[in-house]
Amino acid sequence: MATPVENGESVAVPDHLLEIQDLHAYYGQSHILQGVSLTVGREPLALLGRNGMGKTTLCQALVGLVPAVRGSARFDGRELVGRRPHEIASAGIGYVPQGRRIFPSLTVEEHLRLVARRESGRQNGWTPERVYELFSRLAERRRHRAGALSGGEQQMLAIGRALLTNPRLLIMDEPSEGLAPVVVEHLIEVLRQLSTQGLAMLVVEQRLAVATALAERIAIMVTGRIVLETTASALLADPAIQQQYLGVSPRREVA
Amino acid sequence: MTWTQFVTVTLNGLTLAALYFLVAVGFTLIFGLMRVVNLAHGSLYLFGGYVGWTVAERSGNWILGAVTAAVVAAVAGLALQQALLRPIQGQDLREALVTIGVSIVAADLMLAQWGGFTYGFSPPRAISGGARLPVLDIGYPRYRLFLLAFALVVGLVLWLLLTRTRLGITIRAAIDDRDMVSAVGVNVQRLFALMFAFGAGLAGLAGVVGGSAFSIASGEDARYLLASLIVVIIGGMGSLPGTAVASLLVALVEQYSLALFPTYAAIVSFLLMVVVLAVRPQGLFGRPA
Repeated sequence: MATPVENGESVAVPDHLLEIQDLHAYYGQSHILQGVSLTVGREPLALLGRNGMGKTTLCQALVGLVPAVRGSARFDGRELVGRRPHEIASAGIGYVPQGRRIFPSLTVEEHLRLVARRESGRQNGWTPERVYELFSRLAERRRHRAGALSGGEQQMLAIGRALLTNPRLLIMDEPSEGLAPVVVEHLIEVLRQLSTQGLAMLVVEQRLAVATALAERIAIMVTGRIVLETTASALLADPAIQQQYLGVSPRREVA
Repeated sequence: MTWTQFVTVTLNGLTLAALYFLVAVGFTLIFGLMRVVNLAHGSLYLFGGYVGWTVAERSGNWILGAVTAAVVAAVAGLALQQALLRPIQGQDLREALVTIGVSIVAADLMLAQWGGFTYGFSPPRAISGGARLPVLDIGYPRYRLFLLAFALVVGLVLWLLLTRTRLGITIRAAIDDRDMVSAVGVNVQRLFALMFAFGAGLAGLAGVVGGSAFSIASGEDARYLLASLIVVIIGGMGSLPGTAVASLLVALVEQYSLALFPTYAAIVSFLLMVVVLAVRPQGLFGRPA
């Protein structure tokens, strides 16, 4: 196992960086995740599925934000289930949540400052300066309140905030949601670049085009289970599967 | 109202606002950060007052009394949070009921210990006695002016802390979204404990600093809890400027109405609260939940 090096071009990521096995999650009485098993390694993985299938819950469960979780999720060999969010963050998982969830009363700079302090001993050091280099738009908006930023800028900020925790795996929940096509293109470009630099990714998406642009490995989730693991090219070539699992109609319940 | 009366009532309002601010600011930060309405906050104020009085009386040192009050109240607050509130974290109703329970028990324990007497403090000579205000040419207790200055300093220090330091940025971020703060690597439990101890300590300190302007007696706990609640509702949860402005509004309205129509004075601050709730339910400086 190698750790990413400074400005590393391509770095070894273990094939089983994240191993999810039979993961269940509950919200009160509802059984949302019903035994999810997935592996994420050096290749980005995109998770597709219709609304309400449990994709967001999976992300939240992995970063420790769902209290009732059963099963196993091992990150670099260490169990995540039962650990608290800040421990999971410092173990090397960055989280870019659905809806971005930036802190509206903080400025861009304060966001980066808030996170940048937590040197966890790793050497691949993300700094606010590197984030500003990656997203020059943020540098221009340094002193603006995050609540006043555009959707795209907020998304950049959410990604920058996650990067500053120096993650080895980035979990992103619908990064393209509500963004203009031009902005989405820029995001895809940046994320691909990060991926080639050795950052592992689990991306939840609604948009087939975005998911397949980001990842060759695709998993499809239906009612809390992974029903299909396939490749981007296979999925794009098969309208029937697209319709069955992702299309709005005809609605078919797989339970 | 004569000019002299007007100035005196205004100064009374300002100095009362200073005290309301000192008590309420910890309450609102705890509320904003942890979503816990600490209904034992008034008890911490009174407890600090009694402890401070006892220490000041025994040692003859008012400052020692004030410092001890802050420390003891901070420890009491921390114990309350760790032992009783943390196990039920996130369950609003239970948290409210537990803190009410604590406040009732604490009120009786304090009554048993300190009795139903009214206690007065003797602040150091430098800040007691009367002062002749320049320009206005009006006599006014020097201690009250100290109280005003003290609250201004506390407010300023807190504002610098919240806006300039990483701890402050973290607190503001956590008031926005606690879960996300923990997801970027902050141990929010430690932050909660720290904030609770700090808010409680400030309430305890206010017990001495405020008790020296007025007095300390059984029943004051409920009074300052109520004042804190009104201030937070008007100012907006977790907002420092909101707390300052609301403290001013509440105290000035209270003092002016006491001077103008004493019979109805008691309901005027509630009217103020009702108006704010009707027009801006999140409070003057609060964000919609």
